[in-house]
Amino acid sequence: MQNLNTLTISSTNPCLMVFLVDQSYSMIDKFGNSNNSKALEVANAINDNFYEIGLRCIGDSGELKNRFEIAVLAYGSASDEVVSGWEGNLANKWVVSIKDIFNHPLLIENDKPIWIKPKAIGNTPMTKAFENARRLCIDWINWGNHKDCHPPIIINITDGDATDSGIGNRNLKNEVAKIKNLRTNYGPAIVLNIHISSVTGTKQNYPENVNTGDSLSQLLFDISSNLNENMVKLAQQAGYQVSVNSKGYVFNGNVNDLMHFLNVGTPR
Amino acid sequence: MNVKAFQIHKKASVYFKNIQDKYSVNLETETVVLADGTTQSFKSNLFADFLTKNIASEQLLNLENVKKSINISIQQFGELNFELSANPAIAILEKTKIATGSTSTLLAVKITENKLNLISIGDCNIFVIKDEKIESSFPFNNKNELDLNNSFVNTKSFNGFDSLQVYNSNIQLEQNYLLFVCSDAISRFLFDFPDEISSVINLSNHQDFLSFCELNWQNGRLEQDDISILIIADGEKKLHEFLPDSSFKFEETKYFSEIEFVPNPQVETKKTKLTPMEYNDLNNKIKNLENEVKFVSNKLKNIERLFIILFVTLLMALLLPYVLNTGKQFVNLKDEKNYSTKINKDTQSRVDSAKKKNAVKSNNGKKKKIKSTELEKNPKKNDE
Repeated sequence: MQNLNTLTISSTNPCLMVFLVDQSYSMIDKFGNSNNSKALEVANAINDNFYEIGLRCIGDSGELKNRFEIAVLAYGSASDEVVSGWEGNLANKWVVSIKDIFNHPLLIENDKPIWIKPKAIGNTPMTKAFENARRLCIDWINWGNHKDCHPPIIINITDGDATDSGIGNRNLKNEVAKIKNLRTNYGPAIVLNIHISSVTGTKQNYPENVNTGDSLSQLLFDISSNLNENMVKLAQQAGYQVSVNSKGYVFNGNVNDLMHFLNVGTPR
Repeated sequence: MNVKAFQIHKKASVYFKNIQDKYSVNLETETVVLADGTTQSFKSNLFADFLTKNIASEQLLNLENVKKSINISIQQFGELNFELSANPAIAILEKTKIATGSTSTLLAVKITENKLNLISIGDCNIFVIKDEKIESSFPFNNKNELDLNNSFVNTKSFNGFDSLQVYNSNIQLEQNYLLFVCSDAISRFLFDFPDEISSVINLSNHQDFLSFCELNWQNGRLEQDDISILIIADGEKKLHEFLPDSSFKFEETKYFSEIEFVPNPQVETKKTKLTPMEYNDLNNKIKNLENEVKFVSNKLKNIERLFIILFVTLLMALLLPYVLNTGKQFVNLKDEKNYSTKINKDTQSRVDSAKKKNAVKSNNGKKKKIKSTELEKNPKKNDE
């Protein structure tokens, strides 16, 4: 296996980021102490993250370099189905380069491009979302030179209440374990969970254990990957108190937390 | 002070004009400045260029003059006008980039009577070479130290040196010193592969330097980054620049990332349950289907009836002539039958009459006896 520390994410060696977005009905609830719904918080967070990724990909002459390829898998917006979360000109696409993302925003609002709108509709087929993400990652890894690229990063943003996780959440855990077994020459795929909860608990970023008062926290914490050495190094540089025992789990992260969280997962 | 300057841009930049490493050499003051504009900031090559020129133009290398030069460079950079992208989403990115400023590292050395004065901010490094080996290096002694440094000068946030990691040192050099002033990628390479120092010493033209970089880019030992080496040797004050021709460019590579990746169709897994809305929808569809089936069934029945009527009509049309013909024959036969019946009646009446006559004859004893059987057998004859 190659050393991830030596790899620079670039046009030559892009990185796949798969956002799994919970659009189930429960996301209509308020987020923590905020007046906003969880769905709105999630949509804002993702749009901000695309924007941050764009900032990391823009060259001196204003051209965007395809350093990232991004998938948005929405679950819950169409009953038990998992659908592409892209809208407008990007509708029905699964993986979109950062260049195409910025060429086709849904709209510009308050001087910020918007790609994802908040939705809160149906069930929470989280297991199926991971299953789709796994298939997509397999295809991506086996395409072109992607085996020589940064392993895919799967970011699940949810309130955690899956409706298809099976008895003892066995189905969900099995599916996530399968994704973690996928790998490029630079290591295994990374699963991160951002837990958007109605519970007004203390924010937690990359904890070594979890105690939030939300019964679903433990599950999301358990299925999250440990931060790899490279991520730990970048997080420490950004001022986070993390170690190799830290997990890619954020509880009640606000927009800034989410952006920092993803920045940590995206090598500099 | 004799300086050989070698530079090449990273392949991704394509053109040499896009290199973000900038250097400036002032032979008169024996000052050499290298600045590495950071890729992630806006037009950092321009800021790096201002920095190196302003610092190298100072007679004295000290923190005060460096601070003054940085402020002048920030001012010069701020006076530039940049045209934003026509794409509104990208223009917003550019505005943010401009708002967050341009950043660069810098390393400045001034040699005065074999005494080296060094000021550095960021991850450039200087190596003191002796007998083709690294005798010492500043500010960093190894790659880990270099990687942990995260300091740079930013056009928006620079407010003196308090918040920056500034390395300022004076180093005594030996006679016939040899120094490598390097940007970060080649510094890491020299830490990792110190045996390659002899290769660097022997570089004497741009083509050799280019081959050296390409070889090590290809074998993965050298990072894909701008590469700058300034070799400073004790000797005649002279600058040799080994730079690419103005027309030089790397071939633009068609990256996989420029080809759209389309995954296999995302096969939906079987549904396990329906929502009430889906259930109602499905129920309505089934009811509609049922109604349609009934409607079609009724239509078919009517059509069936119509066909039966048509069939009967056709059959009648076909059979009518025959029926009519048969009717005529029947009528004839009937006539015949009536006629026969009439004859029989006539015959019967004659028989009866004959019987009566015979009865009269027998009664009279003279009348001739006629057999009724003969009359029945041949009524015509009888008639005749």
